[in-house]
Amino acid sequence: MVLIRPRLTDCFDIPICQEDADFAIPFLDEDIPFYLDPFLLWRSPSMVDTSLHAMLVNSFNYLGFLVKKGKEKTAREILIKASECNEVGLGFSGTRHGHRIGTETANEILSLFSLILQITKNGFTHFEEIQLYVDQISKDRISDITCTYLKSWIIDYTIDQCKKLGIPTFDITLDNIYDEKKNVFKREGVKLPRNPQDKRPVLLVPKRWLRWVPWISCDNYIKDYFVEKVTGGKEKLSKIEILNFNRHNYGVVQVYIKQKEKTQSDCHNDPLFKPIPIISAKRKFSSIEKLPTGKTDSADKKYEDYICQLLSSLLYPHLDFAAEQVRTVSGVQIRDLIFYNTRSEKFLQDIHEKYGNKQLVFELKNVRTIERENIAQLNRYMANDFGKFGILVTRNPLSKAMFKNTIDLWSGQRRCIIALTDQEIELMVNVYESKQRLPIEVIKAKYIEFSRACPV
Amino acid sequence: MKSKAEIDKFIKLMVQIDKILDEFVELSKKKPDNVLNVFKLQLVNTVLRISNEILDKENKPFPDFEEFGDEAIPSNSDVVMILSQYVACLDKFRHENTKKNDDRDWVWVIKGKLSRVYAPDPSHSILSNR
Repeated sequence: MVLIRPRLTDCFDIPICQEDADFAIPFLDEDIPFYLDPFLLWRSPSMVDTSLHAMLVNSFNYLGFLVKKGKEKTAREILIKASECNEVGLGFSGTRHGHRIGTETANEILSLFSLILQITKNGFTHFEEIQLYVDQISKDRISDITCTYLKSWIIDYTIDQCKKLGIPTFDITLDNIYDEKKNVFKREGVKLPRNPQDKRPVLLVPKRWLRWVPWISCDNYIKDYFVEKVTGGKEKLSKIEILNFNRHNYGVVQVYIKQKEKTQSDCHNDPLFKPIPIISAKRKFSSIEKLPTGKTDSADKKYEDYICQLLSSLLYPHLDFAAEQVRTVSGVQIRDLIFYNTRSEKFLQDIHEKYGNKQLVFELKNVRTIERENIAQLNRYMANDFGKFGILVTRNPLSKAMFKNTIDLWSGQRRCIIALTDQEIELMVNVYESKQRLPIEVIKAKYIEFSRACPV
Repeated sequence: MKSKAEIDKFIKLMVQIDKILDEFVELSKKKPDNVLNVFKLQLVNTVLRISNEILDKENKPFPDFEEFGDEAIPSNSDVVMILSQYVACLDKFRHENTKKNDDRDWVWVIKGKLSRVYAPDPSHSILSNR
């Protein structure tokens, strides 16, 4: 399989776009750069979410109970095991494999249950507060600890979503499922989807729980609260000094926590993809129009950058953006945009059925005229999961001869190459602005125009 | 005209196409390049279909154009251009299908013969003043 940035759903031929999925569609080779924020469970109007949050906090506070009972070793083992959750695939790892926290960091976290009187007595309401007391604990650890404690529910959710969408599941034994009744990790055989490449289990997480940065975070605490409200900007303290200060001034931290609770209505999950605003789209197109063709003053690079930003937004949510890539052919650098064929529209389903496209290639060419070699280059690149349908994004319409070349390609090899020019991009931007039609319909119209020109 | 029913159909069409064109002229003045949504496109195509049923090949404004395709993305100004051509052809069609009878009243011509169905004076346009 040669899919670029393969996702779980693409591997099993499940045609769903990210917008329609309730969960963040996981990549097979890398993590999704988002984090599970437990605050979103706390502030959720859903009783399921708030109950899960209560269970999460109780499980975390159980560590304090163990510390009180002199069972620090047990508490430490649980915490270290809970600190990594590879099955979920959130974060910035390029490999989907992270590392657990060390003994020292675990001890530092557990020491909070004995050092700070209020935590000793009452535990945490928001366990992500530990970021404000302990170094080396950040959004990734908070996310992983949350995932581990909620793993049982996440497994049920994954099974349910797989059933709905037809994602195949396999018998897998997991030995780190947290039993919140007995407060131990247990081993259990479950049916889960797995990564077809390395056969590791994959868990799905609801989109509504994900953010770039948790609502309560050390950076936010320092930038928006500590510097202004505590030091008044007069003193510049290092992060370690601030964390030490926090440990001895619990009340100050609680004021920040209360503030974050009060502003909870501003806390939302972050969209997995955010299209650019209309005004930005219009500006980008305006910049494209003014660019000369060719490479003068890096016009080709600028054109490619603008088109990349424009198309990924214009075609969302009907086509999910996979990647931009640069390849070198005969010493020439060619930039492509790759989109997942989500088959969200009938036209995209037709492209999948007729041309076998699991992904769509858009080759960018900032040239005045497309030559035979440009078409041949794209044609050679269209193979395997890129199917037999490709798009050239260029400045001007194809000449009669080049258009005939594309028709001949279809006649001889049943390959379809269509061209999107500045005219089509402008129309897509206008359509994007007016919201009366979908920008993808412009590509559909071009495809139909091409199909009508093909011999029967 | 082929029958009284067709005359009724024609009159209704003229009123509809006239009003639709008015709407699009206004839209086109503000945003000529804005595209039509699917609903408006279907309405425009309905009116064009009826027009094509009434106008024969010789009277149609464009021999190669019947209606906008489902995949087409016409703008407000595109629609104004097409509809205004159809309106002009329909008006010409009306002129050709009304004559004065012996009482010097304007009547519709049905199957080549003067009918008893009165028609408005063709020199007075039944369309909006644009």
